[in-house]
Amino acid sequence: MRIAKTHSWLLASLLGLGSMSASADIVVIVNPKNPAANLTAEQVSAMYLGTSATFPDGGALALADQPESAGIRGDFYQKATGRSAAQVKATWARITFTGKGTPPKELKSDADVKAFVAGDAKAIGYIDSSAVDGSVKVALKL
Amino acid sequence: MRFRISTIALAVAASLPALASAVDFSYSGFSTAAYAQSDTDLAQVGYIGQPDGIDSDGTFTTDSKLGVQVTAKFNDQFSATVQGVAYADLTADWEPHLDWAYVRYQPTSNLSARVGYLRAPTFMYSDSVFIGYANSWVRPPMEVYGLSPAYQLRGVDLSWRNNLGPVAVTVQPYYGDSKLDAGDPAMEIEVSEWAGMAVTGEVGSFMFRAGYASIELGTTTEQLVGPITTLRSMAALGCTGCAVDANALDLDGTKIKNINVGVQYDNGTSIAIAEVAQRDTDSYVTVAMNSAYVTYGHRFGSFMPYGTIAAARRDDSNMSSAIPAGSPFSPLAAVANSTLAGGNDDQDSYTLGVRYEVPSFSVLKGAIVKLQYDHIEAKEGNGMFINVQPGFDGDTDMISASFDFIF
Repeated sequence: MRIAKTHSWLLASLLGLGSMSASADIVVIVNPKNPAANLTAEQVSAMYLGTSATFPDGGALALADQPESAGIRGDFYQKATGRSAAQVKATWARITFTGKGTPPKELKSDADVKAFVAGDAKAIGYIDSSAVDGSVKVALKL
Repeated sequence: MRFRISTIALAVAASLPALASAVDFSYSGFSTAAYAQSDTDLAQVGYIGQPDGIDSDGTFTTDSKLGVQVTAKFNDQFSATVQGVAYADLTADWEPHLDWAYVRYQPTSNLSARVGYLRAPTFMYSDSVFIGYANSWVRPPMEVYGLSPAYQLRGVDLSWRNNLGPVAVTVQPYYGDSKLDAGDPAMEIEVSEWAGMAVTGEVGSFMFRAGYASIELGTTTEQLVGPITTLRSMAALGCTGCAVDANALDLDGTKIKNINVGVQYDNGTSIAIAEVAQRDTDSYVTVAMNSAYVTYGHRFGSFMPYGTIAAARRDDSNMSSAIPAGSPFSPLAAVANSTLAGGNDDQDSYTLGVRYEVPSFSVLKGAIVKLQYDHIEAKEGNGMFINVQPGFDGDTDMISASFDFIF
């Protein structure tokens, strides 16, 4: 506690930095034709953890992922599922090698994910909020 | 390597070239390199029926695996998958096996049917027990996973998913038969009929699961053919206990029921797993057992320390020959009693380990290192130890290290 008081200015500036980086929001996007107006984090989590093979309305699903090297991947999984990207990979390894499903399709960038989602009515992906345009529909802000 | 080619596999192979132009192929693989060593050479840790297990000499054979999977997706409904895995089977040879080979038909996102060679979902992790990368432990708790050595199902399964309110329910019935090679020299044990069902419910961080399987075996153990014939001839002379013993010693016609329930809780930071399993049978060779384990792990960044407590208890309803002690046939009770004495018995084990997620690099999509310590105690008889020698005190300590990765 004493340390915290002495260095409250440092804490304050750290918190300031924290909120600055949090302003770079991640958005979950779907095709404009998708009837889902909004998705909850629980629904997105179920889809990206393989628990749900469809959208909440029962519609077919095509999952898009960001590259392993992209920082957004770890942030997305932490925020949407409460799990690290590595834990999610282990979950998909179990699903893949028991033949119960196929992991999300790994694409190269925000632009590629956006193009994939814009081109497929079944698609869902996540990108940085700054990359959103009219070709896709935002279903959830994380 | 032994291929069992079914007409289904042939039909798939025949249709492959014609469809090749429109087919989307995907490849993936998994591997575990694991070493384990115990502190005794008087007993081994391994699956019953396996000629070799883990002892004080140390071994890479028991837990190491290498698997490669190829899936050909023809369209949104049809796909075919082949998974070859090299591992030590019940003959103890580390060699490649055609583990999965099936065609999958998925009329809707929530319904799929598969036909071919599959892994039966006997226990909660039975179908993914080789995927060390996905599992918490170096090996699944033997007290439960050692109850059913048959795993490969030749047949069909269905998987149907539906949401009941907030719960995602999956119902997976399956039906078929199986064969497994066991022992030294290898003996083929036939599973003539195998029917079961697994029901899973997932909600939030929880997964609940119940499994039921009914197995009928179709092979008489070679060494027991003589005694069984003798017992049956005495049964004809009015020895009712002899008839009971003969049937209980004859694996041909033996019926086994595997019943289990499990729960997994994983909130991303903590993982807790509990499973209770029962092997219900009248057999003297593969005796009735009740088993359970609890695992808890807590993640600290890339590290997860974990602990497991497991116990197996023999059902004491048929512990000795059915031939009464005073009967003129009582000398014939010896075979039943020695077979029963060599079967699975009460055992406890305590496990502590740590699982570490190695940052991914190069072609390795992900890797895990695990270090594990086990203390195993036979509480009655030989517990679930194999190859027990005279003088074994029933306790062993064992260390294991594994490197699991996917590619």
